Amino acid sequence: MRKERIKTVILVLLMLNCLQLTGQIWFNKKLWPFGYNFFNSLPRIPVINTIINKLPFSKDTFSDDSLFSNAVKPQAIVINGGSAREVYYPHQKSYGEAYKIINNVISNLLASSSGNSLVIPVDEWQSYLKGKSIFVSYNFNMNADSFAKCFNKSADSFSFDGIVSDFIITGDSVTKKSIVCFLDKSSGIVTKFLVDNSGEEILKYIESATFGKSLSRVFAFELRLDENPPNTSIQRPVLLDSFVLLPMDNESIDRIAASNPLGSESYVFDKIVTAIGYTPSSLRKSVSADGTASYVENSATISIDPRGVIEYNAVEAERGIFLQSGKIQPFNIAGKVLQIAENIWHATGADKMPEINIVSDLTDPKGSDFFVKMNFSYNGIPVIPETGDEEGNAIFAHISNGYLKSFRINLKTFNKTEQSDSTMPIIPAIDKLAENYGNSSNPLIVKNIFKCYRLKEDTASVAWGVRANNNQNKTIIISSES
Amino acid sequence: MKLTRVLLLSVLFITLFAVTAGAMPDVVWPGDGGNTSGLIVITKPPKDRSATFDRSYVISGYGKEGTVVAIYKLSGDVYVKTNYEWQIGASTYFAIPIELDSKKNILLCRAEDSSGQYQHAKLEITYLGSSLSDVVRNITVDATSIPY
Repeated sequence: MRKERIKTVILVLLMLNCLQLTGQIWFNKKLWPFGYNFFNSLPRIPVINTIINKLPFSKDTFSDDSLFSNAVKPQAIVINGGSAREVYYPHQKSYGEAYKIINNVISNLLASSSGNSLVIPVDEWQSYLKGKSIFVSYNFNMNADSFAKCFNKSADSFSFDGIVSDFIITGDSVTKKSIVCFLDKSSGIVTKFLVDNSGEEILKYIESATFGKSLSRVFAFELRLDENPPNTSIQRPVLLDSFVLLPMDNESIDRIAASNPLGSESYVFDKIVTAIGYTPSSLRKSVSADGTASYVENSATISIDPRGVIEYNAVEAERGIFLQSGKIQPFNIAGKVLQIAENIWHATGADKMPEINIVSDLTDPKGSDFFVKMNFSYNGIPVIPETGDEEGNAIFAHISNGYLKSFRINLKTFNKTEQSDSTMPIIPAIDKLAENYGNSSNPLIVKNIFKCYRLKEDTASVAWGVRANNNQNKTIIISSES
Repeated sequence: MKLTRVLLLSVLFITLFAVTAGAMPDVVWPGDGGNTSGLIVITKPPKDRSATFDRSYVISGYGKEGTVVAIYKLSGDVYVKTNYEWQIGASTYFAIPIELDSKKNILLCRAEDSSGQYQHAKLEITYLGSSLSDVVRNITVDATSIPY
């Protein structure tokens, strides 16, 4: 009797294991190339895709929230204290403390379903910047869902369907309410929310953070440099957006050295191909004179340059790597691209991937194409490669109809050196920008200026990055060498 | 030879004269209002009178490229040149932090271009803040009231 019972238990366990393995093989593993496996095409049917998402072994939705939330953390947090201003960067302890406060308030806001919001004039936004507030600026725009995901939350209860470019947190000393204001830079609309009763705590934090500090940074509107000139013959080739933050002092920044973590071993290249989702043995491989390995399939090509550049190109979108069906969720797509990048990184055998930041908008695309761009950073300072091509990003992905059509990553690791460099003073940097890119009849409008590293091959030098309304929407790099 | 020497000296004199003519004067009389008004626009302070709680005050604005700008401070009956002098670059912007060393700072901003045109803008910036050094500076002791 006892033996029968044991046999029954073992049989049940084997059957469960069998079902679980079948599910893995059917829905997660690509045993055959696309188009030759009936089971591979099933997940693309929306109804089945919805069911699969509910299954525990499903990988359709991006699951590593921390990878995404780290990639969208703001590059700086500005604490406005009225007559003083402090800026915190990700490598500083004070950044973590400020981000905790921000996280608490935003989490309460996202969980709130009361919808206490109103549209306020830009003057009120400016008054918050001049008063006591915490100002957070992203270098890109986000829809509500993507913004909520930055804090590992859902936007289901959040009654806001606008775009977030920057936001402010402050407190009302009379009502004790905490206040959050969102700025949509594309429309200029500012939306204000009353959140919880932590207003006094926020104001106390701001006072302690800015006590004894100075106003070493000023917004362009505080200097009135954003205003249109009165009747004057002075033609300005460059105009400043009202909320460009101008540092009045030079800063000393650690000099870093960049290196390529990718060797030229064949087995590493094969691991990278596997990390992308292909089987190396089923692809045709060739190696060019410069050592670039190309893996070719009927529907896609993967090329691996030993100098650290990995590219994936599908002949057409539906032959690419499936990321998502149905309506594009920008945060989900960006998360999956990040996951691919991390898988590739691990395949190289290098240590932890460098800090990475998203720099493209996470808003609903107008058509079927969606682009994801990311840059590496070091201690929160963006490292912008000068590759000579149009994009100049560390990671670039083109998604079409939910499929990854092309992908490029420029692998780099960074190490601090013993030396440091000073940033160029800001006005001479803007002068240089005007000399190289300015036009009096069609002025360049500067939206953001931030310190960065300019990466040319393996040399990283301190520079200013400028986001402007130039046609290419590419970051302009200004340094004493340009 | 003599002609060459005369020509050389003339060129040197003209060059030096031009340099001298372009250099900012060390002193400006209050009655001098300048001979033009289109060289610079001062955006901060927004009016000719302003007040601040900070010792460091940023004077900002924009002007024609190549214009040299200097700050003068009223000392007695004349404006005396300070160390704050800069040249406007291609962007036309300037933003110069200056230290206010007294409660009332009566300043003159002089802008001059290479053709000799110059513009004056008077600024009065009052420092409202107080620091420990100010408190100490303002302490007065009446020697006759000290007990022996």
